[in-house]
Amino acid sequence: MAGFLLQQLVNALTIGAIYALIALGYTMVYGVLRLINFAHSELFMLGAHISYFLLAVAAANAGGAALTLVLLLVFAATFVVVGLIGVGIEAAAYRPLRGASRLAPMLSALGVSIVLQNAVMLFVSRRPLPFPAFLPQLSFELGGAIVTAKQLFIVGFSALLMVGLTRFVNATSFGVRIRAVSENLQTAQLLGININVPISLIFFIGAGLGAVAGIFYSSYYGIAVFSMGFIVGLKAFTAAILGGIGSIPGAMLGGFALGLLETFGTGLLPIVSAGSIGTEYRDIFSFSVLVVVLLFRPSGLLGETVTEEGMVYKRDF
Amino acid sequence: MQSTVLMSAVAALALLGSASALAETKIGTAGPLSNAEALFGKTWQNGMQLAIDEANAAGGVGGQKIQLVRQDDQGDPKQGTLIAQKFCDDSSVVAVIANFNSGVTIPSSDTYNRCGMPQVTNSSNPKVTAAGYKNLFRPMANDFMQGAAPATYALKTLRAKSAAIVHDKQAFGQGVADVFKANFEKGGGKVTSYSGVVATDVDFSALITKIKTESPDVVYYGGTMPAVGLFLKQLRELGLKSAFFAADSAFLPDLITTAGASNAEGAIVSFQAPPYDSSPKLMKFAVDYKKAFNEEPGPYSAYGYNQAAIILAAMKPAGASPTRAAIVKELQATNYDGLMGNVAFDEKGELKEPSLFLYKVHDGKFVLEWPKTGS
Repeated sequence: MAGFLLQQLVNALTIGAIYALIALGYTMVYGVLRLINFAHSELFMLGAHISYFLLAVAAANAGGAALTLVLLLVFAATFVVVGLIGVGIEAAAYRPLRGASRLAPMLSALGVSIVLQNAVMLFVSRRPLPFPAFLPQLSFELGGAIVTAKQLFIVGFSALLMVGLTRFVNATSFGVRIRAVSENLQTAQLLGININVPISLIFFIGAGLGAVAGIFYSSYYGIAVFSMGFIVGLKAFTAAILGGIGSIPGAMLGGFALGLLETFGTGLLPIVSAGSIGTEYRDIFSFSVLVVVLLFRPSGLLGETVTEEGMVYKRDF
Repeated sequence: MQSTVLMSAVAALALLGSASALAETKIGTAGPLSNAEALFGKTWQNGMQLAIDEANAAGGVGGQKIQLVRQDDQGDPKQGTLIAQKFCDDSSVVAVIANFNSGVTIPSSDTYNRCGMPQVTNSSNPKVTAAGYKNLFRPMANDFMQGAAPATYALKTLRAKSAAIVHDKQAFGQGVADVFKANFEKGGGKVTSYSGVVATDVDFSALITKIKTESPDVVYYGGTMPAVGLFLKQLRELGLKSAFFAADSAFLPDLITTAGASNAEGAIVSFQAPPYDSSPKLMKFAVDYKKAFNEEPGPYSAYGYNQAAIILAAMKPAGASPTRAAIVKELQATNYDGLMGNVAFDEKGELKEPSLFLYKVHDGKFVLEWPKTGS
C-alpha cells in the first residue's frame, strides 16, 4: 500500500506540475485584465506542435553531448515563439477591446481559440502525432514506486521555472510594474507606467510557460494532437480557480492540489467504493472541485478576499 | 454570339456528363479517413477500389461501369447517419459498405434499413446485427470470437490465472472487453478489476498504479488508438510486466510508434485477417494492391476488397439495372470463394465460418502468434 500511495504521489506531482504551469498563464492574465483567456489552452497545444518540428530538426542535426544543449535551445525557442504569439494575440484581439464590457474580450478569446485549433488541424495534422521521447528512458525504484527520469525532469524544471517567475515578479523592476498594473490599472497609469509593457510581458511569460507545459505533456505521454488543449486547459483553469484566480502562488498550489485530488480520487475511489464508482469518473473529480470552490470559496485557497471596496476599484479596468 | 455558342456547347457537355453519370451505378462507402484510424479507413477503401477497378476493367457489371463513392464519417455516429441519409436519397447508390466503427454502424444501420439499402459492414460489435435487419451483412468475425480467442489463449497457452480488464466505454471497446471477461471467467480465470476510461484520455497512470497492486497475469484493453498505445506505454513505464492484449483496432504500426518498440514488445493483438504472405491468393492481392496504390496493403485492405467483391457478385444476376432489393436477395444467398475463405451468411447476416488470428509484437513488427499453422 505504501508503494501504491508513493507511486500515485509521483504520478500526481508530474501532472500537477503541468497543470500549475498552465494555470499561471490563466491567473496572470486574469490578475491584470480580469479576463479569462480561453485562447491560453491553444498556446499550450501550439507549444507541443512547434517543439515537435524543432525537435525533429534538432534530432537530425545533433547527437551526444550537443543534444542536451540543442534541447535547451528548443525549449527556449518554443518559449519565445509561443510567447510572441501570445503577445500578438493580446495586441490584435484584446487590446482594442480594453475599454469594452468584460464579455467582449472573453468572446474574442473564444474566437482566437477556435481559430488556432482549426488552423493546426488543417495545416498540421488531424491525426495525433507521435511525440519523440527526447529524454533518456531511465527509471529507478524508490520504496515500491517507479520514478522515471522524465518525471523528475518535468517536476524539477517546472519548479525551477516557478521559482524564477516568483523571483522575477517580486524582485525586479519589471516585476514591480506587473504588480502595480495588477493592483490597479488606472493608478499605475497615473503613476507614469506605460501599462502596455507589463501587459505584453505577462502575455509573453504566460504563453511561454504554457508552451513549456505543452512540451512536457507531449513528451510525457508521447503524443501531440490539435485538440489536446481543450480538456487540459479546463483542468488548468480549474487549478487557477482552486488556488485563487489572480494569485501566482495560488496557481502553483492549485495545480499541484488538483493533480493530487484527481490522481488519488481516480486511484482510491474504486477501492473505497468497491468498484461502484469507477476510474471513468476521473474528470468528474476535477470539475466537481470547480463547482465546490465556486460555491463555497470563490476566492480560492490563496486568493484575495474581495471586499466591496476592492470591487469598486477593480470592477472596470 | 460566340459566347452563346460556347455556352450551349458547355451546357451540352454538362448534359452529356450528367447523363453518363446517371447511367453509372454507384456503391457508397463511409469510414474514418481523418482521425487516428485514418490509415485503417483509407486502406480499407482502397481495397474496395481495387475490386471495383478490376471489375470495370473486365467490362463492368452487366455492361455498366461501377463507381465507388468514398465518404469520411470521422468515426462519428452523427456524420455516419448523415452520410447514410445522403446515400439513401441518391437512387444511383445501390449498395453500401459501411461503416468501419461499431458505434457508427449501429445508428446508421437504422437509416439504411429504412431505405432497404444492402449494407455490408466492417464493424465487429455483436450489437450491430442484434436488430436482425435483413439488409445488413457482416463478412467477418464478430467480437464474440474476438474476445474469446485471446481469453482461450491466455488461459491455455499462457496459463494465466488473473486478468485486469480496461475498456473505453464505447460500443466496440466495452463490447469486446465484456466478451473477454465472460470467456476468461468461464475458463476459470479470475478478473481482478474491470475499469472504464475516457476514450480520449491520455493519462492512465492513476489507474495503472491501482492495477499494479492487483498484479494480474494479463491486462486486456478494449479500445481504440491512440489510447491503446498510450496505455501500453504507461503500463510498461510503471513497471507492470503482465501480458498485454488488445483488439483489432490496435493492429496499426502506430501502436508500436506510440508505445515505443521496447514497450510494445510482446503485446498481443487479435485480428481477423491472416498475414498477406500466408496464401497464394493473398500474396497476389498484396502485389496487385501495391501496383495500384504504390503502398503496402493496410490491415483491412483485403476485407475491403472482399466486401466489394461480394456486392459485385450479387449485382451480376440483375444485369444492367440492379435494384437494392434484388442485391439484398442475392447477398442472402451468397456463396463466394473470397480472399480469406468461403463467404456465406446465416439468417442474421453473420459470416458462417469466421476466422480470427492473434499477432504478437516482435522487434517492432506484428508476427502471427496463433494459430501457428495457417487458417
